[in-house]
Amino acid sequence: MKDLVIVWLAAIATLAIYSILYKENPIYRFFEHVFIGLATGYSIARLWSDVLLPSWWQPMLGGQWYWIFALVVGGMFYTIYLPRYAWMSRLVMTVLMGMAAGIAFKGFATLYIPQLAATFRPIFSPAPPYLLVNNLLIIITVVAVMTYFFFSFEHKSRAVRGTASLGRWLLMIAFGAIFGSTVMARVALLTYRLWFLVHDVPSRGIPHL
Amino acid sequence: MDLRLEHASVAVLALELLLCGLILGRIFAARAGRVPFIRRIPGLAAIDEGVGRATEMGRPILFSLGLGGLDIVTLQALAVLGHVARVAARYASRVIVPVRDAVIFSVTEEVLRDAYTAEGKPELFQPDDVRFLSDRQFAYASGVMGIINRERTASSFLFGTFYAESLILAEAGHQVGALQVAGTPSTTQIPFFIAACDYTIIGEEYYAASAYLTQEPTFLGSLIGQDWSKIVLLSILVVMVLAATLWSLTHGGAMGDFEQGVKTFWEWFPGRAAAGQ
Repeated sequence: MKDLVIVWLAAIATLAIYSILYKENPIYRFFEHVFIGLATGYSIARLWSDVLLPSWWQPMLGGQWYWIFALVVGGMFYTIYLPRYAWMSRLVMTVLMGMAAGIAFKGFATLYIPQLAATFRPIFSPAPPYLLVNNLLIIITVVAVMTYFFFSFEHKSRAVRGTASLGRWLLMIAFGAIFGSTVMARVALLTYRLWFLVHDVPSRGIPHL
Repeated sequence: MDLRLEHASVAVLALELLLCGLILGRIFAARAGRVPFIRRIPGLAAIDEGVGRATEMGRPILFSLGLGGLDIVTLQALAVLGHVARVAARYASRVIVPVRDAVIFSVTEEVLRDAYTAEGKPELFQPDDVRFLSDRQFAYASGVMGIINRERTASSFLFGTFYAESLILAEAGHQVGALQVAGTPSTTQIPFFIAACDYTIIGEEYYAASAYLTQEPTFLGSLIGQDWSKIVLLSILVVMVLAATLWSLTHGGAMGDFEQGVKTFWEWFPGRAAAGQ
């Protein structure tokens, strides 16, 4: 019986959310709010069970009393609602922003430098021609796309305009390829949902009388 | 305990110092009065058009900050939001900002309040226009879709980190005929924004937004410094491609030692074992 209710609720919720494809309506509105409420409740429960309980509450009760200070720092966020003490919330936010900037430095070292080093490829060599074409394509793409993203001067000279234009075309080709492959993933998600509606609901959701 | 920074190496340190020096140098030069030129970026120029449209139609503006936490991408989106809110405040338009992160929620409130105050209209700021929906991706998307449809937003600005919900949000805006400007460094979502939005800010243009919109000397200097940094990186690239070509021609196409040498160079740090050992 429980399975039956769950399957039918899921089917109704799916159709209600899809109903916005026609137009916004009270049924969509109701299920939208149910969805948001459930999702937020679920997030709070997961936050407690996956983060706060094992990483904060249990260590604190287990003798690591200094974790109580995390509560103080977390509480400083809420001073934003007290104009007199709002400066305290800015302290926490500033630390977080500084941390984000620091992480960006690390990202430069871990992400961009290996990419740069991987572009150091020969354009003439005894290697098979297809490898050289591949190398040339990578190097031309990097140079052209970087030229497109220069902002400090107008792309007026013929050489710069041509290179930047090539960069834009190459970007669009790459985006087209990404579009195609991502659409396939989205169609797979839709197929999964439609399969649920036309197969799972009839097979599991209709009570045997 | 090894207290050295992960991924730190002499080459990385030297390169980061050089690039930071270039950027700081340009920032100081711009602040000293040498305000640099930056070229027109059509997508960013359309932002004011979007706000103007909302004012003419008497409908609100929607600004989504995406799904990112408090990181560089979201900070940039908040800078764009600050500009949009100031222009909107000037024309007494509403800006609705649905958010999915509790930390971003409070920062967003500050940004919006500051923007309305800076334009001398603090009374126009409505705290209810900053709405925490959910930190779950599709719950957030369904909430934003609902807001767009119910409020019949005249313009949608989608700036930040987006994932699979990008097309859902852009399609909802398209349904109500909103003028849409999107900007994200999420490479896999840019194609969807290009397909569904009127203007899309791509790649590095996203990080140029705050400089372009505010024309603040500090931001402009930083942007020009980044251009100079790109010239340095392109120069390194050209030199190393020539070196690789020379190596390949003189070593019969065998690139193993060259690649290992580059790897060792980038990863070398005094006292640390050599790369590959």
